[in-house]
Amino acid sequence: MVVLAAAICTKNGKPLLSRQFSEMTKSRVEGLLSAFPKLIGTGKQHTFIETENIRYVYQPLESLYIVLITNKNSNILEDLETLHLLAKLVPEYANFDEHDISRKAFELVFTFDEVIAMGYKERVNVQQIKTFISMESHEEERARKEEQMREKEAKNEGRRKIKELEKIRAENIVKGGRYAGIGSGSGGYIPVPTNSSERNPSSSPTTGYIPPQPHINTKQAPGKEGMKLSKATNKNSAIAQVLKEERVVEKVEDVAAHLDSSPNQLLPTTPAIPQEGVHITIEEEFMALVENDGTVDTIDIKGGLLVTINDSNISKIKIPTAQGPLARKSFQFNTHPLIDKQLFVESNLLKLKDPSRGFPSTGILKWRCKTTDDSMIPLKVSCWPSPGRDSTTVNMEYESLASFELKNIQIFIPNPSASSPIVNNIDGLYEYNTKEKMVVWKIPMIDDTNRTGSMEFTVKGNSSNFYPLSVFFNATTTMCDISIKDVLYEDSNESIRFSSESTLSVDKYEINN
Amino acid sequence: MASASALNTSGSIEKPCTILIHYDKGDPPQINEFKQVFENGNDEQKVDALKRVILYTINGEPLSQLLMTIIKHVVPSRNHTLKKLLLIYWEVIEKTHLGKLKSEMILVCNSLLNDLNHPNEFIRGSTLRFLCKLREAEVLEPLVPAVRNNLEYRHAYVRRNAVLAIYNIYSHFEYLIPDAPELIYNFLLVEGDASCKRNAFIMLFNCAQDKAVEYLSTVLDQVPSFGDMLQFIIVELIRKVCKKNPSERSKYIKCIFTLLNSSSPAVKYESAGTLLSLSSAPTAVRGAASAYIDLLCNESDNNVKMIVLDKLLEIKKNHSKIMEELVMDIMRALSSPNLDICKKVLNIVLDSVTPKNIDEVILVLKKEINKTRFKEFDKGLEYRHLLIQTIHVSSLKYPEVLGSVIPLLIEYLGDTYKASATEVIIFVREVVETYPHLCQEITQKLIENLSSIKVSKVYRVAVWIISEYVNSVQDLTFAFTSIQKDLEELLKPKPTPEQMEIMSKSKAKVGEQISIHKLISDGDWFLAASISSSLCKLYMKAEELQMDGAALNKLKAEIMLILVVLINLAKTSQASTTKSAYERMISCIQMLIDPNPALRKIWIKDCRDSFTQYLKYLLFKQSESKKKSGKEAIVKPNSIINIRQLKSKRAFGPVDNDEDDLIKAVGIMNTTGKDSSEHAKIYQLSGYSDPIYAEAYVKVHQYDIVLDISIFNQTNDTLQNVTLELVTLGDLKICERVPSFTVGPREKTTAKASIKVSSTDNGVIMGTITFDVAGSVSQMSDKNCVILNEVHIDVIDYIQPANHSYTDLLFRSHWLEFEWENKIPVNTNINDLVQYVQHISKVTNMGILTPDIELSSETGILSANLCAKSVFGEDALANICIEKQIDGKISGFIRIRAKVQGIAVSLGEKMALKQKIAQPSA
Repeated sequence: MVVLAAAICTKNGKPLLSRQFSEMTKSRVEGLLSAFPKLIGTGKQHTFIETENIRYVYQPLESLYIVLITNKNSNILEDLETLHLLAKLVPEYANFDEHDISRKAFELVFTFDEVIAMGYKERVNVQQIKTFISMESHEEERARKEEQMREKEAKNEGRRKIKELEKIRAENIVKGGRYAGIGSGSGGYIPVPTNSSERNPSSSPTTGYIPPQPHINTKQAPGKEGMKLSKATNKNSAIAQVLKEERVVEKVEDVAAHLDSSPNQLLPTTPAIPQEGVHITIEEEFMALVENDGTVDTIDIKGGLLVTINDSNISKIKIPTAQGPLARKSFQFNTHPLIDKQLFVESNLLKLKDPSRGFPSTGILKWRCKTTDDSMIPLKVSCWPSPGRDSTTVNMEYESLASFELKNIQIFIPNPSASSPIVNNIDGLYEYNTKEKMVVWKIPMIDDTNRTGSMEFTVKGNSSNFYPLSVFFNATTTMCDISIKDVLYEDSNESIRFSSESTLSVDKYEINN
Repeated sequence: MASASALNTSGSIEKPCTILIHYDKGDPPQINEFKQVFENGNDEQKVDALKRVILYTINGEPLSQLLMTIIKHVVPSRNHTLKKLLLIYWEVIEKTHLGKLKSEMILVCNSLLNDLNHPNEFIRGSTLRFLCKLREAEVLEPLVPAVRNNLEYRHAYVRRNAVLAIYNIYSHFEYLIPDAPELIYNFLLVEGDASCKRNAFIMLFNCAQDKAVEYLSTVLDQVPSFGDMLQFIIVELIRKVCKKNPSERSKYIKCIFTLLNSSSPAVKYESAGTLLSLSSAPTAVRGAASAYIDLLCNESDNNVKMIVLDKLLEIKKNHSKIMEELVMDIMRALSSPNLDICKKVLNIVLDSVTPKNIDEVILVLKKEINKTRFKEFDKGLEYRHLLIQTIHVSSLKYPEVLGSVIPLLIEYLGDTYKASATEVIIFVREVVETYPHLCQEITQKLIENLSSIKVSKVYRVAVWIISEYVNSVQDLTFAFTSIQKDLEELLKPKPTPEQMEIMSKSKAKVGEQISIHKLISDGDWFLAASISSSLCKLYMKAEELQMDGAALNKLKAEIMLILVVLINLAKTSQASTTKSAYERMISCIQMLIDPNPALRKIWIKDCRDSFTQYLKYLLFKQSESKKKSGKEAIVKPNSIINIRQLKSKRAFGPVDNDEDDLIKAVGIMNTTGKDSSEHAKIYQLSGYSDPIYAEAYVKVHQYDIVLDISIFNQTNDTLQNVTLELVTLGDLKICERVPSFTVGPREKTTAKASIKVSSTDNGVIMGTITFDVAGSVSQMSDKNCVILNEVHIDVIDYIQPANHSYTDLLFRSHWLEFEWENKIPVNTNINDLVQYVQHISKVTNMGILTPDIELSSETGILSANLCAKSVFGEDALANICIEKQIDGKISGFIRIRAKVQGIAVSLGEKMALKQKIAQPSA
């Protein structure tokens, strides 16, 4: 005894809109509505039709019909009242012509929702419904004012902080030159080919080619960095506050992700970790050239472990490490000349050969793996173009064999045709760079829930030249999977508070035909 | 739970659809553009973009890649419209992926939670309303506390939606709010708002009927003071409760009785229906019927009247006695200007006349018929016809009123509306024969009104009656002069053809009235012939009545003059019926010249006898068909038999199939178990030696066809990307593409494809299956392909007999109106005419309109009308004209007419194909 659906359709049975209040399948609704005008006989002076299973109650509105579909036991008096109310409401929001109804369809659906709840008629009049639809609420107004006040305060605070930050940065640039960015974990952002020049400075420390820094410089720079970082998080938290109040995000952690997505924002994706007295950075870079059929030309993984001692009181330490299963098998390790290599090989302990010397605040371990074993590729991408007569459909697929999370995956696919691609279906997101003619397939994160994924797009023209594909991603776990178990005072074996971060990034990963 | 929902998504065709908006698909959606707008646009642009995204989604193009963008950039917005649109967006998107909830939905959940605590009551309310449609327990779970809190929010708008949300959560995921009934019960006790109360009550009576009953019994006395909204739902509950435990009925009957007098017509209507289902005690039925009649007379809406009348008709079926008492009240509804309503009223009246009320009924009917004389009367001639019919039938039952009725009716002989005049004359003919005491009066009246007759058929019958039943010389002379007068124009000296032309031209200009002589000169020779024979008969009667010689001779001469004139006219006429009429008139002359006693006997006596016999036969057939229709439906031996004596007393209300009704309306038909006939609908789609063997089971629902396709991998390889591509021919549309899937070696899977049908047309479904063999290194261009057999959709599945909704009149008017005709020559091995007609009716599902009594093989010729309606509302008519040849074969034609071509063609094909019956052993 309920209204099953309320609909507006044209005289020849094209349903313009229909709102269902009971569970019905689409084909059923469409079928019922398209059969409806054919069932209207001519010369009838009543406006309901009964079929075997249902009853239509309708009212003509100029060239349209507004119609309720009900079951046959439904109370006709209720239904008529509902119908009349709807008919009164429609002109409040749209004209009686096909075009306008379609244009205002959503507004009409909203009003339908107010009139009928789960098939039962609500006792409401036109005026009430208008209030419901306009959604003007005093309470909201009040709440908003309060919020605005708070927001204003937070903004002011934020602005002040930002200014401070910029001031410091400017000082930094003057003093610290090109090393200003070292400690900020800049490996965290994904370089795009267009600005590759910017990438070099940040990657250079990990490769270990930088000569040991003059003492004063190293000491100063991290100190400054630490300060800058803390400021940065402060700024983040101010924004987080704003966002939180705006009900954008719930947790501070979400802020970074949120901010990251906004354009022109080059903040690191992984939240910067505040540095302790000893900060250990593990960085790994992945380089690979493979062919589409899966043949690996080269895979070259280079990594390094960098110790930064921020607290000058700390000098004599040892670092026990743990390594993943692949480490010994596939990687060659190289220690800093001052480190006891033998000990490291035997027991994974990084310790100075000569205990009397201070621990170097620099890269102390390097490793490398050069192989053609395709199991070392954490993310495999394949591309299957199928050229048609005048368009080419490209099926892309990725598969991640790694056991860890990959982040910020970007796959650049050159588009040989002049037209922009039409993406038919995609896991993740995509962008199209019209200038470079690149389809950028972005996957924010790959974890165990989406180890495989695909994308299909179509471009005009007949072509299969979508190579080379370049792939970028990063991760907080390295291929070598070396990790710091602890940092201990050399003599007392007491733990020292330390911080560490590890990043895996892609230097170059190209797939050729 | 997860596996269940996974199953649901795999059969995605059956997904319920909550919203449907027409959208002309233009270009394929530009994801990038949308992203741009969502990221950088203002609210207005976002609203617009989100609308379009929703439109794409509901029209089968889910832009799932936009989900994240929308979550990031639209969800934070404060814009009210955006918020509401988002609710619709959540409603329509696919929320699961491979049976698991998409991780993004957790973010959505977050924003929903915020909205449930939003200061704006309307946002809270609409969010709660959305929760009613959400079926993902993982999303609902964290929201439950907020929903509960909203039960106590100050705005009724929020509370009433919160109740509904709880109702839906509880009914789908009971474990999320196990204490919901308790909660709502307590809520109901303290709630003041009618709408909230109503919703709470709905919740209780659907989820915890005992609670609802408990509540009801505490407030039972106050029910009459409740608002109509709550009363309405209480009535519904009572109906349900009593259906379950009939012993409770006595408790509620009083309540229902009070509600019968509710000021709200809706409650009144509902109560009446409930009362009927509760009790069949005469008082209850009378109460319900009076409530209905009250609605019938006081509601101005025609729809209400029509439906109430249907209800009354139903009551009449089971409790005719009570309706007889109330018939006068029902007749008040005759004041409605709507013809359909009057028709129904008269229908009820017709069966409810008793000796007690016949006088009153006839009085009202007479009054009504008098009203129809006024020009401004708007129900028109058809209404008059209806009234005449009613009077005819009801007065034949109680002949004592005939005397007063007949003279009145005879006045309507001159009606230009053929049907009513015909009705009257047929009625008169019947009365004259059956009630000889009225004979004299009727014939006199008839003669008086003869000249006013304007319809050929009526005139024919009238002169026949006069010539047959006239029994005094005076009347006879009067009748003759009257006929002579009617034909006067023809008897004048004959003008030359040229003059005729001029005359007819000038006459056309004047705009001449329809008259009998005009009809004859226009070529109605059948009329002429029957006038001739009636005149002839008059002469013989005159002889019998011993008219004096001179007058008799004069009469004879004058009759002969008329005949000669008519014969001469017939000679010059071109009309096709002339020949037989001419012969008939010649034989009349012969009759007058040479009175042969044998012939005379035929003219005077045998005619009358055969008419008497015909009347008897009619009565016999009528009573027989009544018996037939009154017969109980055949009950299967294994079905439950209701034995009245074994049921509690008076628990015999009409079967209440409320739920079935709803389920049927929603279109969920559970056909449990396929019977053997259904197996016939399995089509083999590919060969046994194909790498993929496929067969389809075709289920035809009302407006859609579902193909259940079973796919067997016949190879030892895993087949990937198995894609089923279907193409249709005719008025069929594929609803959804079947997604690609993988089949392991020697495995079987099933796929479902649903196809929408929009008109009755023979449809063909064709298709291919393409697949890749796993592990083969071949390029994708040379895909493996299996071409499937065609599936023909049988048009008969959509055709339903329509002989109940058709009348002869409607058939004729449609027959003229419909443009498409398909003529099929009869070619059959059936040798019996009636059997052939029945066979055609059976194979095409068309109903036979021609009544049984007129179907007989005796004469060797047969004409029958058939009609059908498709479920799409298209009518199809067929006329079968067949004749038995000397060699025993049947020859003739079937003509099918329809408004649209498709159905005419496809029915024709069907008939041509199936008109032979399979011989047992050929």
